[in-house]
Amino acid sequence: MKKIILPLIAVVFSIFSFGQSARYNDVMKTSIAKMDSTWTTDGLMQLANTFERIGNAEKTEWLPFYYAGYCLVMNAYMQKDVSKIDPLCDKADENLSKAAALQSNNSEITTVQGMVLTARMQADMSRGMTLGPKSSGMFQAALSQQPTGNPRAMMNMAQSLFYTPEAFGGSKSKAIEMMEKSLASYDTFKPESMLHPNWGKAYVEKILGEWKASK
Amino acid sequence: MKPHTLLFILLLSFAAGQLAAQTTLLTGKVTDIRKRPMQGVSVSLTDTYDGATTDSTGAFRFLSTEIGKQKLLVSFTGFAPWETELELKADTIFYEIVLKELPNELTAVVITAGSFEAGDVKRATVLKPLDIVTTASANADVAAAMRTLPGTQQVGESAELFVRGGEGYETRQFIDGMVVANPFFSSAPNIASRGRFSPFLFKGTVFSTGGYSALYGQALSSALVLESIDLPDRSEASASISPLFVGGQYQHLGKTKRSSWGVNAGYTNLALYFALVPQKPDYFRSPEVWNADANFRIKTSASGMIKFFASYNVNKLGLRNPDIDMPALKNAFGLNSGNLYTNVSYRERLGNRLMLKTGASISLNNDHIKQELQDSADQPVTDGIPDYMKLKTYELNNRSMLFQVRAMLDYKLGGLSALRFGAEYWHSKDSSMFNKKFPTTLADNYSAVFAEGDIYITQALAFRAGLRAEYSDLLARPNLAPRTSLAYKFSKKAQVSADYGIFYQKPISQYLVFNKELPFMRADHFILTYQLMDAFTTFRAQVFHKEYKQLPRFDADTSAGGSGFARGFELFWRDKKTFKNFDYWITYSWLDTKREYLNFPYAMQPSFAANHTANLVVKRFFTKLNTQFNMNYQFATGRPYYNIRWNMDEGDFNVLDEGKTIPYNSMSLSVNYLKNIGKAFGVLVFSVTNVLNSKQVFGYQFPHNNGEKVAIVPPARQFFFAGIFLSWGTDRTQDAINNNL
Repeated sequence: MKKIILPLIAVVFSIFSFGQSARYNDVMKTSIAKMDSTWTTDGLMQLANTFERIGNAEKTEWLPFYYAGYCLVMNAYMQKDVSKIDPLCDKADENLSKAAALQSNNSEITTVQGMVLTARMQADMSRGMTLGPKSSGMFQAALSQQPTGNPRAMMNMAQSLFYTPEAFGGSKSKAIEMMEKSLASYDTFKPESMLHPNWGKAYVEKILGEWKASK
Repeated sequence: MKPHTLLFILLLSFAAGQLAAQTTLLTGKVTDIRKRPMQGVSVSLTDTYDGATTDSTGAFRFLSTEIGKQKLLVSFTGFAPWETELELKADTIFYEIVLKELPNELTAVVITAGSFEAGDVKRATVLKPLDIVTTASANADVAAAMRTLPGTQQVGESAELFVRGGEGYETRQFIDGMVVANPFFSSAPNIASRGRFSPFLFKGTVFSTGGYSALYGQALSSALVLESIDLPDRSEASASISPLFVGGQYQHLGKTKRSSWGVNAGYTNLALYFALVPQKPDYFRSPEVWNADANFRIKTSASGMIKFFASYNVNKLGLRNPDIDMPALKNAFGLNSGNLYTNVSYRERLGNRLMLKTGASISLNNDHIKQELQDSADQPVTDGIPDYMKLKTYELNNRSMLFQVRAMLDYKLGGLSALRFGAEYWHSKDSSMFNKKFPTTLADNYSAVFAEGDIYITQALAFRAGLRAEYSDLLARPNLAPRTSLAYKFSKKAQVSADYGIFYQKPISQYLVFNKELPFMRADHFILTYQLMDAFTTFRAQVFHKEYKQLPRFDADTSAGGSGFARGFELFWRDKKTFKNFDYWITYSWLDTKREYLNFPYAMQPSFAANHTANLVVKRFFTKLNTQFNMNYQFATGRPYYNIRWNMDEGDFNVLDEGKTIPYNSMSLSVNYLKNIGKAFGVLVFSVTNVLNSKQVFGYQFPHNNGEKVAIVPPARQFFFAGIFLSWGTDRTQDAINNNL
């Protein structure tokens, strides 16, 4: 009898834990889906909190912290009140360093860390001199961390090129070229799983259209 | 059914039961201490997926299937997290939660609101580091940029900072906590030089025009506290080219980004400039400077850093002016000066709350001055002249050395409150020789201990109490300098603060030589500050009173019987919002000061003090042109001048003539044009001081026979500058972009 019960218990426990990871997958999947259609600061804050809770509960998954950081930085981008940007960026950085502690040298995390620096520049344009090179340095690091091509790192690098004055190394034509490269690489980019970062294509299409129209 | 199948089902249903357990409804409302609802707050059961975010009414509501003991955590950035343990038993729970705001630098009252800070990206500061290099009149000189701030005087004949009725030497500069003995290049009398250190060496600047912290000492009036940069962002080579100087620099950032080193060398020669722009004195040796510096920085841990900086420079100049007593003769002044400065500092976190900051520095300075009376053929004149004229030919050798060590501990008390304490020791030796004879040496061992506490009673009310105890071997005297500040913030933007402190400084060597028994000079500061600040505008008003005691005085002997006072008010307004794309500030300072010191027979307004001083600084960056335009206008009412003579019969000093100079006006312009030149990032700088060519008189000198006075004027009314600064970043950003295209 013992011989049977032990494997049975093992089976039950594996069902149980499968339940947990199924729940992780489910909640992550729905939250990521929600994220793609959330365009309000309140909604992004809610999602950031949800991802943060998942991260704190799971402890070993980097993706929830990564998405929490991403939602927070998007929230920061959308703020009209510049005084709210820094606290959101602080919280984003907190989550991203938790993600980076679980997954080092990750191109996606580095990209969002660079986005945080870009958001901080919006809080105070005089930071551009010091933070501009730092954020483009992050995007550059993100590019080199994923030689197979990270469309999100390319998109951010393109934006950095577009908005940097030419005297400081910016270039609108190179920006467009880089954005096109980003768009192309969305077609070949295969996320590691359903839960891995795969956002941004629609945005790239929209921005690229605007840039080309403005030329 | 086989028994194990049954068991399997039983176990499964047990598991299912676990999953579909009873649910608890958690609801509540989150507000701040003023009962205002807080939106976006995270509410969660720790280590579970269950939780919610508060809505615009501060309400939250969520279901949990967890049972038993759990922790509820309520958190929001900038607020202290709220936590409670609870027992979940499938009922409804309601919480009313009040979150308390954590003290933070942005919203809390600022204790040091009276000082001007340029720095650090994160904090709301009155100035930005870039302001120092984009001030039109400053030509990238730190002290000159500070001269556009209230409380400073326009003393055109000196590079020093004259603050609130204080002498130039009453403002001391500190780099990473350590005093700089000779912050300015040695120069000829009444000709302003420049600071030795480039503003690009520093990431933070704090200019306190009074009431500064007990961490610093030996400055009666003011402290200019500079913090050197940490690791650079990238490796970089740079060059500067101008008709006035050439320079090259290389800064290397290690592969692991944990260390860096750099070297810099430059040569300045004003001969070409003086050929183009005539100077009033006859320069027989146009100013020349050779300079070299080196640095390294090592990150020893996540929080530890060692920084080393050393600079060496040699400067030479020689000029002739008509002699004031016999205009047919000339007075030739020659200077040969060498200076070495080194600074090494180390900081490390010793625990969660404790930080150690320590350092050492050495300053060595050697000035060789040759003064000679010459005839029209530039030959020395030694005969056929009165005795007092013979004193105009001499040689002077001045050597000074300052060695300093310092250690300080910074203990965080929670929130923004902190305790700081430390000690420092200075060994100094000043020696001079007159005509290679009469050697005099002044050596001193100075030590100080200091302690200071910043206590935030609430976010809006804070005080600082500090005490500094000093002892000088040479003066054989201790002193005790208490300093205190109280600050109260009464609205989101407005605050008031009050500072009081006692400040001591050793008399400068030229007086100590005559009397080594002189005590410390003393100044007591009383300051009231009102500040209204938001993201784009700053308004500041300050009232101060300063009481001087124990100043050197030339009676029968050099005594410490001098005294004085300075009082005034100052206004500062900076606005980056009202005029689109324009950034400007306006300052006004009113100063009333009198001193009875040195040879002043009675209390008089010193000749470095003007009653009214005003500045207008305007900056604008034209993005499309890649060009920044900077303008500033500096104005000061006339300064007093005196002809003070020793009266043998009365045994006292007499004022034979006095008056005021014409007002000081100077409008300066500078243009910085950014351009990529080849692979280099280039900045082209053009600047002109005193664009309107206004006449400037800094004071008067009187001949021996009390005849016609001679105006002290600048060597040239205007200063023109053109230069190119190039840098080649050796990071791979551009390569990375190209590789990805």
